[in-house]
Amino acid sequence: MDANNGPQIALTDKERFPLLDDLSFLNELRQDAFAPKFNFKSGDRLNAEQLLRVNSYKNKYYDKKVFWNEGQVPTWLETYFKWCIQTVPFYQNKGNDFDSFLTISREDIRKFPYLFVSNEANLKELLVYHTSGSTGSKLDVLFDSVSQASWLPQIESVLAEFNISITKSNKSAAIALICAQEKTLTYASLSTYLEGAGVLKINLNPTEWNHPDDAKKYLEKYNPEILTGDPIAFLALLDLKPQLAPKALVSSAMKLTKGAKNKLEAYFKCPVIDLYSMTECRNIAYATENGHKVIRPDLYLEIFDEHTDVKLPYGERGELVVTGGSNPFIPLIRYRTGDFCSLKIEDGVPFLVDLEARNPIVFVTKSDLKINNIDISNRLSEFPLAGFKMHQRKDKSIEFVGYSNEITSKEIVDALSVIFKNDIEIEAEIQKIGQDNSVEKTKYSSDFI
Amino acid sequence: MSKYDVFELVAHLRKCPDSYLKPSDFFAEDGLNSLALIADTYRIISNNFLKKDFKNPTNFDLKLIDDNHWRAIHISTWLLCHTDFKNNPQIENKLQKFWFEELLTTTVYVKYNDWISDDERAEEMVRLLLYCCEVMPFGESHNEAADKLASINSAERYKVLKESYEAHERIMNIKREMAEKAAREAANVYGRE
Repeated sequence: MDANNGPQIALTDKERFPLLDDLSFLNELRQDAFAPKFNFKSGDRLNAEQLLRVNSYKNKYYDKKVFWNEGQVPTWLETYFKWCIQTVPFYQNKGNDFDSFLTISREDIRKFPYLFVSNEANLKELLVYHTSGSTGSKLDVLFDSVSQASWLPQIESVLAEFNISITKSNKSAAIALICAQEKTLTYASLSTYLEGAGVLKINLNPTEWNHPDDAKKYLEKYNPEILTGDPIAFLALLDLKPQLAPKALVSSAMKLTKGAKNKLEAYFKCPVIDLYSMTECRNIAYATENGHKVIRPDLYLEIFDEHTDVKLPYGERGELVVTGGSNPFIPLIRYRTGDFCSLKIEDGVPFLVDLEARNPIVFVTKSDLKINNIDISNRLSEFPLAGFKMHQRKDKSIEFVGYSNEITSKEIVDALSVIFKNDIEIEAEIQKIGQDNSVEKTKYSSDFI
Repeated sequence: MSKYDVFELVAHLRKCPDSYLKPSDFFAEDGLNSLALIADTYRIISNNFLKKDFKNPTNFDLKLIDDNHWRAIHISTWLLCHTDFKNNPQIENKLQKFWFEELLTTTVYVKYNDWISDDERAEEMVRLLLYCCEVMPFGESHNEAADKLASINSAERYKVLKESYEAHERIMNIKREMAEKAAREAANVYGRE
C-alpha cells in the first residue's frame, strides 16, 4: 500500500491494543537507535470478546485431523451454506442447492463488495484495506480484527508440523514482515494473541533507515522468531548477510523456487515455508513434496473447469474454487481463485497438486510443438530466481525477465532452450534484486492467447 | 358479459357514488349507518330480504374499527352490489373474513379513496374479494389468480418495499463505513498475500 496515499494514523495505542497495559516493548521497538523511520502505526485491535473469538477459532478448527474425505463434504458446510443464503445479499435468490450453486469471481467482489457483507456482520467491526492489485484489478478488502488475527493460529498450525512454536512474551519480537520495496507502510506493533510479543513490518529500502547498516543492526538486535515476506524481500535480506536465528521463514505472495528456498534454508538454517495464500481468504496451504498441503479446515476446496461451471473430479486439473472462511465481511461460496491445480485427499487432508498461481499457458516451439508452462516452472524452480516474467511474441520468440543476484541470462537461455527442444529464439534479461524493488509476480503471457 | 370479469368489476367499483365514501355513524352523527349497509348487502347476496341474523363482529370489536377501514367497507358494499354477487348465497359466509380480516390488513396501507381513484388498488379490492369468496376471476387459472393478487397486494408490496428500503439503507451504511475505514488505519498485517 502506498504510504502517501494510503490510510491515515487515526487511533491511540489504547485503541490499538485494548487489552495490553504494558506497552514498554512497543516503545522500545519504535524508539530504538537503529529503528527505521516508521511511517505508520498499527495494532491488532482485539478486545476481550474478540480475543476469545480468535482463541475459539483456533480451538474449533485446529485440533481437526480430518478435513473431509473424497465423496464427502466438511460437516460445517451445510450450516455455513444456509447461513450465507439467509444473511448475505449477494447469495440470496440464487438457489438453495450447494451442488448446483454457480461459482463467483474476484470481479464480483471487486464490483459489489458491500453485497458480500453478511446482514449479521457488525459494521462497527469493519476494517478495510486496499490491495495494490499485483495479481489483478484493485480490490477493497473488508475484514475484521478477528479474521485478521486468525492469521496467527493458522500459521501456528503449519509451524507445529515443523515442531516450531512462537514464543508468547512481551519481551521478544515474534514476527517481522520483511519488504524490499520502493514504498510501503511500516510500523512496530504488538500481538495481543501472542501476549504482547512484537510484530514488525519493515522495508529494507535504505531510504527508510537513518544509516545504511541500521536495517541489519535492528533486525539482529530483535532477532524476530518468524520472518515473513515474499521471495524478493528474502533474497534482498540475504544480501545484507544479517546474523539472525529465525525459527522459520514464511514466504508467500509469489512462487518460491526450489533454488531460492535451498539458498535461504542454507543461510538461515531453518525451514523456509512456501505458503499459498490470497487476500480474500488468507492462508490456504503450504508446499510439501506431495503438493501444497491445505491448512484450513474451515475452507472447502473444489476444482472447476476454467470456463464453465462444471465441477471436476479429484485428480483432474482445473481452477481452484474456495468455499468458507472466517471473515463475516466476505463469506465465500464457490469463489474462483484464478489458480490452477488438481486436488487429492490423503488421510482426510486435501493437497493441491501442481499448483500454478496463473492460468495455464501453452507456449509453442518454432515448429508448433506445445510446451506447458508447468514444465517451465518446474525447470526454472531449480534456479535462485525471486520471480520472473515470460512472454511469447507473435513471431514465437520468447522474452524473459528474471530477478536474481546470482544467475546469468545465459543459464536461463540454456535451460529454456532444452525445454523448447532448441527450436526457439530467446531474449533473457536478469535484473538485480535491490532493497527497493517494484517488480511484478511471476507471470506467463502469450500473444497467441 | 362474463361473470367475475376483473376488468368489468374494477370498472364498476370505480363508479362508486360519493355517498359510500362518507364516514361511518360510528364516527359522525350524519355518517352512514355501516351496520345497516352491511345487513342490506347480506340480504342482496343471499336474496333473503327478511333475514335478520347477520354474522358480524361483537359490538366491542366493531368499535375498534377505524374510520379508514369503515369507509373501505362501505366502498366494498358498492362493489358487492354488482350483479355478479347478487343472489349468491354461497359467498355469504365468506364476507366476514373479507370485511373484518383481509380489508383490515390492507387498510393499514391504503387510504380509502385510493380504492376508487387508483386502478391498481381497485383491482386489488376486486381480487381480494374474489379470493375471499373462493371465486376464480374469469379466464384465469388458480395460479394466475394467486400470482396477480400477490403482485398487487398492498401488505406484500409494503413488506417488499420495506425490505428493499432496509437493504438499501444497509448498503449505504456499508459504503459509508467502507469509505471511512479505508481512510484510517486498520489492523496488523502479518504476511504477504
